[in-house]
Amino acid sequence: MAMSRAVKGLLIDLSGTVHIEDRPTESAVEALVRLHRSKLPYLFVSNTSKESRKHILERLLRAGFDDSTVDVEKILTSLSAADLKLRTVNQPTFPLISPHSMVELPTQLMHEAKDFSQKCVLVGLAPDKFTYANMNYAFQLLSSPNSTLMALNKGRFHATSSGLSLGPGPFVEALEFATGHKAVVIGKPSPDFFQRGAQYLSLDLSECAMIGDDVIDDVVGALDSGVGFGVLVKTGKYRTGDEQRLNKDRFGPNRVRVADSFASFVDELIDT
Amino acid sequence: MTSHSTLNVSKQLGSVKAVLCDIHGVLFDDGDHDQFPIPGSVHALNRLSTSGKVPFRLVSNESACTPDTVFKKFQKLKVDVEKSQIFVTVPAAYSVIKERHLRFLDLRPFVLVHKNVQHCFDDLDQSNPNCVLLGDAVDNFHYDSLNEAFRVLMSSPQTQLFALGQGKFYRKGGTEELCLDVGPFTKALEFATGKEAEIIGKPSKTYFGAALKDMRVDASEAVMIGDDIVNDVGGAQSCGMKGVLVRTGKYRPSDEDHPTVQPDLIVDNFAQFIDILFKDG
Repeated sequence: MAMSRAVKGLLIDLSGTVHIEDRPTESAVEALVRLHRSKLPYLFVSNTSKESRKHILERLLRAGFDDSTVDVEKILTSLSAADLKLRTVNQPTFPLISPHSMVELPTQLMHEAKDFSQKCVLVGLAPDKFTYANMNYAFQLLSSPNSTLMALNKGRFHATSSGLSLGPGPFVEALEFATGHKAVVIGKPSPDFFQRGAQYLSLDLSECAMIGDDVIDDVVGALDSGVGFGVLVKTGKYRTGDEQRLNKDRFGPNRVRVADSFASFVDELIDT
Repeated sequence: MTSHSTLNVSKQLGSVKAVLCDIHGVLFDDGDHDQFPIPGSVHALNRLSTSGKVPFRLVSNESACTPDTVFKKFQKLKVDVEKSQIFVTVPAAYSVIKERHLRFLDLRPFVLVHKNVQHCFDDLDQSNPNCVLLGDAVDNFHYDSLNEAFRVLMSSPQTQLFALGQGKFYRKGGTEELCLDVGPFTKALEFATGKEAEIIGKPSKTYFGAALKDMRVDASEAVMIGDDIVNDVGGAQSCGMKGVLVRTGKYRPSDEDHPTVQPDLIVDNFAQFIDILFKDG
């Protein structure tokens, strides 16, 4: 397989690819051990906007992943990437994000009172916060000039144990439509995010492969950003027919792969 | 930039045989319990009504009320209109779903609308929903309700999303406060599902068409006056009507430089429009 020679590092999606909530995907635990032993560099790249990296690590350990194979240093999330961006914008920010994701962000900038002091609205996955009153307040903030709409990601939906559930994307889209703003998107499929991931692995984007269950945000987004290879897995939020949206004509068949699961891809990659 | 002028008005509007008039932002601003008539509007509407010269319909995307509730409010304010002259989206949506259901499409809606009109859909089968109906639900819009609507839409490729209008926001009566309308939440579900909503309300041709048919006039003989540059003015022009923009309600000065919609006429308010209409004979 030509890919195995060209791939010098892996960017690996977490939710839906390596685990679904507290359970690993098929044979993912063993696959990760094999990957670790192969010495191929890898980094978990997650759009989660609900959990801190420490929370994610704890979840992975609960799911049975070996502690030699997972570490906070091996995890890049849109939250950890947002920290730098927020410090750059440096404005009081109305946070539509979950309480325990606040730890990874500059708390001095997060301001929840509805006093119209905020110049920035930050949107993540925060089901409890998506009330009409909060959405309306965010809309009113964004209706004034020089305001910024920042999105940890624009995920459309994701798989949960109770079924498919809305991500933050639709709520960001609602605010964009109402105000004419174009959100600054921190996580996948933003090119900056993939670039940061490659940097963490000390590799060029073109030497990396991105593997994930979201055909648009993980795979096409990565390929569009210059990531060398995109691998779609048929777990998590994958739905039959998603491979039709891989645009092989644009990227060339060598850069695109479809695998049954993370484990089956790792097996292929390492065995060749 | 156009402004009124008695010399040019027949060029701008042609011969006007019927008037379609938006309610909120033209006649009233509206809050939860109060009506705030826009100065001069009640008098102007009564002038139109009593003259009998030009038939009119009030065509609104209001999705938190019924013709009956609007009629009662109008009566209180001594506005001279008939219930049958009031077009709002709830009865239109009910008809659409009921008629298609009767044609063996078996439509069972998940209804996410304003609590005041929830009961209007009670006699539709809402068990095991296979379509979604969205209105200006205000506090009923939250993650859980939208997630439920999302799941209904994802249950099959055939499930359809209906939206009562597509307005971005409206002005809460008596205040400067802008409030999110149904449009952004429709867009949220369209984005999540990849589906396109069917709009029941302005700027749908079917919706305007129902009012025109009721007056037995052709679109080319009618004028629509509203505060929403896209849904009132643009929507009317797309049907072949003339579109008049008012500088009240949700109007913003940037509307006069809209990239795609150029109103046939812009007036300060509804009263000015009626002045022009009657000055012209």
